[in-house]
Amino acid sequence: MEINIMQADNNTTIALKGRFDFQTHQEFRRTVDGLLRSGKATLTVDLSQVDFIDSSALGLLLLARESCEKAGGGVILNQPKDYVDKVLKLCHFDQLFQVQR
Amino acid sequence: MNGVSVPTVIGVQDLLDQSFVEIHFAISSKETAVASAVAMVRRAMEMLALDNDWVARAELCLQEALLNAHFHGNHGDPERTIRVGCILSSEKIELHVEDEGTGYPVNRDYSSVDTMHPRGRGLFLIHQLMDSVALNGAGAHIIMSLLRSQNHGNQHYAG
Repeated sequence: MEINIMQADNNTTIALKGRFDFQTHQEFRRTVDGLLRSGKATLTVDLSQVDFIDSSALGLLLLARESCEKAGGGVILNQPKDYVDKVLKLCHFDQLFQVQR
Repeated sequence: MNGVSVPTVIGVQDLLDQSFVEIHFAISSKETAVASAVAMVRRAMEMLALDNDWVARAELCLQEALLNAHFHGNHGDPERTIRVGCILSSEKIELHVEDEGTGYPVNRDYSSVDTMHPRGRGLFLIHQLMDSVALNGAGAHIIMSLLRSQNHGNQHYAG
């Protein structure tokens, strides 16, 4: 998976591309932890180019949400593809996260 | 190939009508082998031109079952093995995953999930996305099926 960080005004976006699953665990956590350390507590995770998501990635999103909320921010999920959106809904993530469609 | 044994293909029949493929192989209990196994089965499903919705469901559930087998069944021990069996056709997909552990709790209710807990969604997703899920023996062998006779209707998973 490819991870890109984009900064615009006060918005920090983590743009993901490809498969978001158990193989990206460390890279995603490192990215979130680094942004939190640099004072970015509200993160948008751009899912518009994610083709596959598994339960490990859902766990990562929950951990990121918890860390960001502790720092006074939160996590927003942006433009999940149909496939990914259905998994998010199945696991009630649309009730836990702000999802921009 | 990344800890994946050479697959045994049991049968390929009538490519124009009742085509199906039955594959059996074993993998080392390693994350790289899990990824290779999932990619191989996905390619087989795509070669058979199976329904996109089925491919997406089967791919995710196979990955979840293999990861459960690796992390929980085999405790991440690369000396242990996970055995995989797949029957792939336009009428039925049947996936078998068997580890060397003591098994899942067979009688647990997997129909709901703790939304706040970062773990425990694998078996929930499998039970939500497959038409039939069975645990054999003590639960170390999971059998997951999609059946054409089931009406998937509006529950389509892949767009």
